[in-house]
Amino acid sequence: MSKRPFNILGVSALYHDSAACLIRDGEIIAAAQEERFSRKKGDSGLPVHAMRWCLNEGEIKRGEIDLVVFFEKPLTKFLRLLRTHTAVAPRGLKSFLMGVPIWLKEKAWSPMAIERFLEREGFGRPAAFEFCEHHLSHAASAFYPSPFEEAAVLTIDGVGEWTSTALSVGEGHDLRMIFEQRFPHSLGMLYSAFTYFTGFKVNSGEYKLMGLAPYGEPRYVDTIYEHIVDVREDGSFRLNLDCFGYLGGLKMTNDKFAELFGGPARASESELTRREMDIARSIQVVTEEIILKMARYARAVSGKPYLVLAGGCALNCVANGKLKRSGLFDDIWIQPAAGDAGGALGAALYSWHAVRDQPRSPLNGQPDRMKGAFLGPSFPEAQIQQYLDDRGYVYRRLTDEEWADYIAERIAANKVVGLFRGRMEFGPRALCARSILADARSPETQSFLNLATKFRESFRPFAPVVLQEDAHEYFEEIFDSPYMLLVDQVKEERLHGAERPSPDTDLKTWVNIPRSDVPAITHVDNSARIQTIDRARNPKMHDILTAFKEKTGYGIMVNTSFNVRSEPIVCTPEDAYVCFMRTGMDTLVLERFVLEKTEQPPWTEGDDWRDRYELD
Amino acid sequence: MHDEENTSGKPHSPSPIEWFSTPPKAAIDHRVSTLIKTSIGLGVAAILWSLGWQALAYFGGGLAIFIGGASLISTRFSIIFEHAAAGLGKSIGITLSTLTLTPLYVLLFPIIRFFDVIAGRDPMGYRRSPMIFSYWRSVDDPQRVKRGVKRSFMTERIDQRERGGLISLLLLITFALFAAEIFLRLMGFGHVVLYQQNPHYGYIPAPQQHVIRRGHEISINQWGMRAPEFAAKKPANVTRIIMLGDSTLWGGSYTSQERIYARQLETQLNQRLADTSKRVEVLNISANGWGPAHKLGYLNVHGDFGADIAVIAFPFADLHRPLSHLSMTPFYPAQNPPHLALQEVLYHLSWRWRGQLIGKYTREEREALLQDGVEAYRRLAQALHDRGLEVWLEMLPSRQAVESEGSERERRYLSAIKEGLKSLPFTYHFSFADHPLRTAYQERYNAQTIYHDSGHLNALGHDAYAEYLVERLSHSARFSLGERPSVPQGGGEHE
Repeated sequence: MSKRPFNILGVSALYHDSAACLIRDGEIIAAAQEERFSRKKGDSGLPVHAMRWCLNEGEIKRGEIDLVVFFEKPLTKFLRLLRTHTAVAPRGLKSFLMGVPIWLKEKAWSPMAIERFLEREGFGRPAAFEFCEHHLSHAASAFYPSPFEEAAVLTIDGVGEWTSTALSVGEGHDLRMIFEQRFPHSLGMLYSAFTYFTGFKVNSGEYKLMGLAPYGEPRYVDTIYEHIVDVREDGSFRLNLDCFGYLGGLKMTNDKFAELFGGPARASESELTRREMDIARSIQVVTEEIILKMARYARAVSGKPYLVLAGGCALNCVANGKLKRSGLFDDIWIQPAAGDAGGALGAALYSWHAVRDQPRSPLNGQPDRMKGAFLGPSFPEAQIQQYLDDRGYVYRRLTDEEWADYIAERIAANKVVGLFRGRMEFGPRALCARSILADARSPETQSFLNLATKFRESFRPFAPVVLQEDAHEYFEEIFDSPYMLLVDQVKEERLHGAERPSPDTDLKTWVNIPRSDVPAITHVDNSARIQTIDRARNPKMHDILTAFKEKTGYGIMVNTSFNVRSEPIVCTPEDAYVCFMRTGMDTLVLERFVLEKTEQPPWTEGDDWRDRYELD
Repeated sequence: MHDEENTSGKPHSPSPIEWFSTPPKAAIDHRVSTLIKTSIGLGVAAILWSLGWQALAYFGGGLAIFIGGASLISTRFSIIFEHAAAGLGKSIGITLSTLTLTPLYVLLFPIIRFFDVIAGRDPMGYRRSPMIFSYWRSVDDPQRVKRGVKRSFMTERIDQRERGGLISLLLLITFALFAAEIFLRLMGFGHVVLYQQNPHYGYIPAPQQHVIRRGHEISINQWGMRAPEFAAKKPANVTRIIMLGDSTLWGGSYTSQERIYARQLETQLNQRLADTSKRVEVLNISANGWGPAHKLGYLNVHGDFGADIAVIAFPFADLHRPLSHLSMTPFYPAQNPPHLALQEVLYHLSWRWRGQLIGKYTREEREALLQDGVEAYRRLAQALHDRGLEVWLEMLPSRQAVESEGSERERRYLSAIKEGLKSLPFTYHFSFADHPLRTAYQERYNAQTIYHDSGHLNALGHDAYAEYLVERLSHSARFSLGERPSVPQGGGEHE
C-alpha cells in the first residue's frame, strides 16, 4: 500500500491580499488570491473561497490535511503593535483604540477560525498547525520555486512581525535568514509614505507611483537622503521617524515631512502636478539605489552567484530591471506573487522543505517550479459552453488550427481582445491567462485602453508581451522576464528620438507622443515592463504571438490585466463576460469560444457598476 | 478601431452562477433563522418575567415579536433590523473597548516608555549616527524558526543591545526596590504588630508578641494587650484599675511601653502607696482603632478581671466608631504576616485606597453613629457599674481643643455624650469640660509639645496625662480602700 501524500495548506490573511495554496509532497497543486473569488480588491479577510477552492482542486478528503501553515506569527505581530505604542504613549491612543480591538476580536484568533472553517466545510481539522515567520515565508516563496540550487535571498516589504527587510541564504532545501532590518525602518513603509503623500492609496497605489516616476525629475533626492533616510553603503538604513506619522498615528507622514516637500499631501484624485512627478521620480531613484546597495551586500556576504527576491518591494519592476542589468549576480529570479499572497506559498514550502527536511524536486526541463504562475482555477469548455448557451450569448467555437490565428487577426485589426484561458495566474500580474491584449503598434492604444477600457489614470503605462526569442529585437538587455517583473529600455533603433517635453506639458499630451514603433508599450522614459513568452510556460500565448508576427512582423503586443480600475482580475468566465460588456473590449476569448461585442445582447445594469468598487 | 455596440437582441440582466464544484454552504433559511431569533428573544423575555422584571419582559417580548413578524413579512425589514443590530453591537463594542483600553493605555504605556527612557532603550531605533557602520542586525539563531514553528510568536533570543538594556532596567528596578526597602526599614517599617480577629470585639493584637518598632518595644501579653502580664484573678491587697481605650491609650509605636500613661499611672500610684502594704495594678485594655463596641465586647468576653475602678479613656473620634473587624483595618492578620517593609506600606496604601473608594460617612450617618457610640458608652458604663466598679470616663481632648476651643464637631460630641450619660443612675466621673491638660498644665506644657498628631499624645503627653490622672484618681475612695463597696444606687456626678 503506497503512502498517502503529505498535504499542506498555506494561508496568508488579515492584512492585505489574502491567499491560500495547496502543496502536495512539495509540489504546488493550487494557489489563489481571495480577491479573485470575493471580487474585493486586495481582500484581507480570511481566504475562505481560496482555501475551499484549493482543497477541492486537490481533491482533499476529510482528514487529509496534514498541515496548515500560517504565513506569519500573529502573536508577535500583536506584541509589535503594543510595543510600538509604548514608544509613543501617551500619543497614539486613537490608533491604539482602532488597532487593538480588531486584534482581540479577530486577528488573534485567526488560526482557530481557519480550523473551524475547515471542520465546517467537511475537510476536518488539520493534523497540525504551524506558523512561519513573515519574511521567511517570503524568502521561501522566492527560493524554493526558483531554478537555483543556491542563492542569496532578499526580501523587502513594509513589515512582517518585526522584520522589514531580510537577507537569507538558500542552499538545497535549507534556508537561513542571516541579516534583517526591523520595523519601523522599512523600505516598503518609506515607499508607501510617498505613495500616500502623492495622493495614492497605500498598499495598492505603489505601482502608480512607480509609473508616475518617469514623468518627473529627481530634484528631491538630496532632500530625501538628508532628511528622510540615512543609508549605509551596505544598503542598511534608518528612517528619520520625526517625519513619519505611522508610529501611533493614522497617517503615513506628518507636517514635518510636508514641509520638506513644499506643502501638504496631494488630495486623492486631484490633479497631478510637477511636484508629485518629481517626488515620485526622486523616491524611485532612492529606492533603486538602496536595493542595489542591499544586493551588493547580499552578494558579498552570501557569496552566491544568484539572487532571488520577494516581498512587496520586489514588485518594483524598475528597480528589478536595474538590478538585473547591474550584473551583480549571474541571474535573478523574482517570485511572481511577491506580495503577501505569495507568503501562503512560501510558508507551506518552508514547512515542507526546511522544517521537514525534504529535498526540492528536480526541474525536469522546466524553467522553474512555479508552473508559469498558472496555479488558479480553470474552467472546462463544457461548463463555459453551458453558461453561454443558458444566457443566450452569441459565440463561435474555434478549432485548434484557427484559434491563435483568429485572435492575432483581431488584434492586428486594432481590436481589443479579452483573453481568458487556462488556469488563473497567482500574483498581481496578468500573464496572458486573464489578460486584455491589444496592438502595441498603435499610438492610440495606450490612451484608449486607459480611458475607455480600464477607466484608469491616463498617465499609466502598458506592458508588452513579447516572444522570448524576439525580445532582443525590442529591448536593450533583458530578454527573459516571464513574470512581467523587469523593466528595460526599448531598443535604441526602434525609438523615434522624441524629445522629452517641457515640464509643464499636460500628462495626456505627453503620453500620446509616439516614442517608438511600438508606442503603446513605450513609456515616457522609453522603458517597458516586459513579459517574455516561452513555449514551455505558455504555448498558447506563444502561438498567438507567432501568428501575430506572421501577420504584422511584430512578435509583441500589449498585455494588461483583465479588469477595470479597482476591480480584481477576473476569475470566472462570467466575470470575464461582465467585464467585457462593461468596457471597450471588442472581442472576448473564453478558451475556444470567441464572442464579438457587436453580436451580444445589449448589456443593462440597474446602477453604475463603477460605484461598487472603491478607487485604489 | 472599435465597432459600435450592438443594441439588438433581448435585454439581459445577469444573475449569479455556480462556477465551482462545491459552492459555499448556503446559510440557514431566512424564515427559520428569523423564528430562531424570535424564540431567543421570547426566551429572554420569559427569564426577565421570572426575575420579576415584568415591564422589561413585556418590552423585550413585544420587540421580539415585532421584529420577528416584520422580518417574516419582508426581508427588507429583516435587513434593516440586522443592520441596526449590527450597528448597535458595533457601537457597544467600540464604547466598551474605549472605556477599558483607554485607562490601560493612558496609565500603563507611558510608564513603560518612561522606563525605556531611563534604561536608555531605543526600541523603535530613533537614534541615527554616522558612527554606526551598519544598520543590519544579524539574526542570532537561524534554527529558532524550526523549533518555533508550532508557536504563534517568535522564539528568538533577545539581542545583546536589547538584553543590555533589559538587564539595566531590571537592575535599576531591583536597586530601586532594594533601596526603598532599606529606607522604609530605617523609617521603622517592616516589623508589624499582628492581629487576631474576634467575633465579639472585632480584633485584638495577637497575644504573646514582642516587636521592636521604631526603636520601641511592643510587648503584647496573654490577653492581647500592650501591658505587663497580669492574672485573671486580682491578687490580695491590690487595687485594680481597668483602663479601657483605643490607640490613644495603646500608645502607638512611637511611645515606649513604659511611658504609656496607664503604666505611669500604676507606677506613680504605687509610689504613693509605698509605705503601705497595698499595691495598685492598672490593666491597659486597649487596641488601635477600638470604639465603645469593641470595649464592651471585650468586657463581656473576658470580664473585668476583678477590677475596682474602671477608667474609660477615649478621644471624641471614638464616638462614631462601629464594631469593625480586621478586614476593615490596615492591620496585618497573624496568620499572614508581611515579610517586607514595602509589603507593609503597599498593604497600608491599599487600605487607604479602599477607604477612598468607599468614601466617607455622610453627616447624617455620622450622627447616627454618634448616637450609637453614646449609647454604647452608656451601656459600657452601666455594665461596669453593674459589676460594682467605680466608673471614670476620661475624654482626651484633641490638640486643637487644648490649643483653643476645639472643633465644632468635638464640642458637639462632648455635649452629646454628656447628654447621653446624664441619665445614668449612679455616680461616675467624667472630665473634659475644663480641658485639664490645657488649664492645669498649660504653664508647663503646650499642645505642640505633648501631641504626636492631632489626637494622639507623645511621650511627654503621656507623662502629663499620667500626672493628671494620678491627681484625679488619688481622690477615689476605692483607691484608698482598695476594695469594692456595695453597688451605689441612683444619682450621677459630672465634673
